[in-house]
Amino acid sequence: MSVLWRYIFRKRPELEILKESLIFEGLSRGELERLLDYLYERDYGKGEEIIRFGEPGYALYLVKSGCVSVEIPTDGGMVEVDTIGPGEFFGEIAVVAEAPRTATVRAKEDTSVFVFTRSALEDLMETHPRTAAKILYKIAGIIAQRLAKLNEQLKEK
Amino acid sequence: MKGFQRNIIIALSVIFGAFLWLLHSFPAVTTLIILSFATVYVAGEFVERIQRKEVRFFVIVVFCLSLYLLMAAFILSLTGLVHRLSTADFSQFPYASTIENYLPKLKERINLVAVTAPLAEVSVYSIIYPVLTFFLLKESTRIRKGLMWFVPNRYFEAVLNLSYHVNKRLKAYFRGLLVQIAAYSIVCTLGTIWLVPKYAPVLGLVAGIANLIPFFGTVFNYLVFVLVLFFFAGKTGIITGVVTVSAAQFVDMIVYPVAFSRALSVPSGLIIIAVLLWGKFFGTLGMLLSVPFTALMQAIFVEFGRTLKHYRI
Repeated sequence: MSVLWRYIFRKRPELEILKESLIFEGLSRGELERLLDYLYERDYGKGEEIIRFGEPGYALYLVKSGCVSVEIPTDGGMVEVDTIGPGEFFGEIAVVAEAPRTATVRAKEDTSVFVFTRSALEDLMETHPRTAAKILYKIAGIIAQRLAKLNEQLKEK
Repeated sequence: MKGFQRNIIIALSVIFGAFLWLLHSFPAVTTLIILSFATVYVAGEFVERIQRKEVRFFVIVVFCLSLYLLMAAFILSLTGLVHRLSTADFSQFPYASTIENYLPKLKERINLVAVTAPLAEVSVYSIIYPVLTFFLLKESTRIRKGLMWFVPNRYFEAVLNLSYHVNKRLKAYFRGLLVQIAAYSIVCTLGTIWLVPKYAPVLGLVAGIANLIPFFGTVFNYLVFVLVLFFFAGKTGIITGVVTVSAAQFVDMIVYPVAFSRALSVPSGLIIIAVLLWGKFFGTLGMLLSVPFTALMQAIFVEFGRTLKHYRI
């Protein structure tokens, strides 16, 4: 019985990561488990490019373990502007719009990521619209926050 | 040639070559696998929609059982029809003198079908098909994920993007195909049900599937309907056959543009070449598969070109 109990209430590390990420927080355990079916897991070595500036985007990446650097092109070459760690994500615009990547993201150390694609979101919208709506709402919120921040910065300049 | 281009072309050539070899060496099994994949492709979304009710396993089991029953009924009916035709006397046929040279050959063919498709063998296939479909429906996510493991990181997103767009085009194409078969089959069934109620559904379905072979399918349908209906109903059967197939052709002309409006159209010249080549190497089965596979290859190449233009790989 205790084995069954432990099985039911076992902590799955991948679910914990999803639960704590800003984009998937608020989803129930059942929804997160379903979401796992749609996610790809990829491992990248240190220095390996995950997405490249200017290329068409198609997926959102959630860092499972490790760390990545976000680089943007300047006159003096690529400049690191941010670092993203476990539970954080990048490439979210690609899930909602067919737009080119706005930065290059590279693994700073050996890194594992979850990949959530546009087609996965479309499938979710068809099969589990409530889950899809929660995710889309989060993405919209994040993009709106960034836009507001950008507007502030422009005002200051 | 760039690395990505070369690798994709090699991978596609190997897959395509392996498929042709399988089709040539084990036509029946390969057809079953293709049929299962096509079913999962077309019906997958339908099953997923029902899964929203959270009756996953049950729904898949019911779906596969229904497939099994439908297929068993279809095969039993078709075998019965072929058995009856193999003993038919076509000497009363109005154009028997013209085709008397071909008649023994035709009878031989029909007998051959009746002998080479005994019920036991057919039953085995009719069990394999729903079981395989069940497995594919249940494990499609794992299979898809498993296949992506072989893709190197550098090409990962490009391949995902490519498969997404190819998938979108193919889904639209297969749905169109399904609508086309359904429309043609319904017209043929309704047209003949008053003459041959027992065999009308199977005749309709055979005609719907045969219609997928451009040009040859139409000729085949006219011939089969005229011969079969003549056997059952004499001269009235001939008139009914011609009228029914003509009506189905007319409906097909209306349905086709609507059914395939969202799918990539395959140039008719390419279709003729594909039908002739596939027919030459793989017979009737090849002719049936020629158009869907030409559509698949076209979708891959069109999207492949698009992907290459946008990704610096």
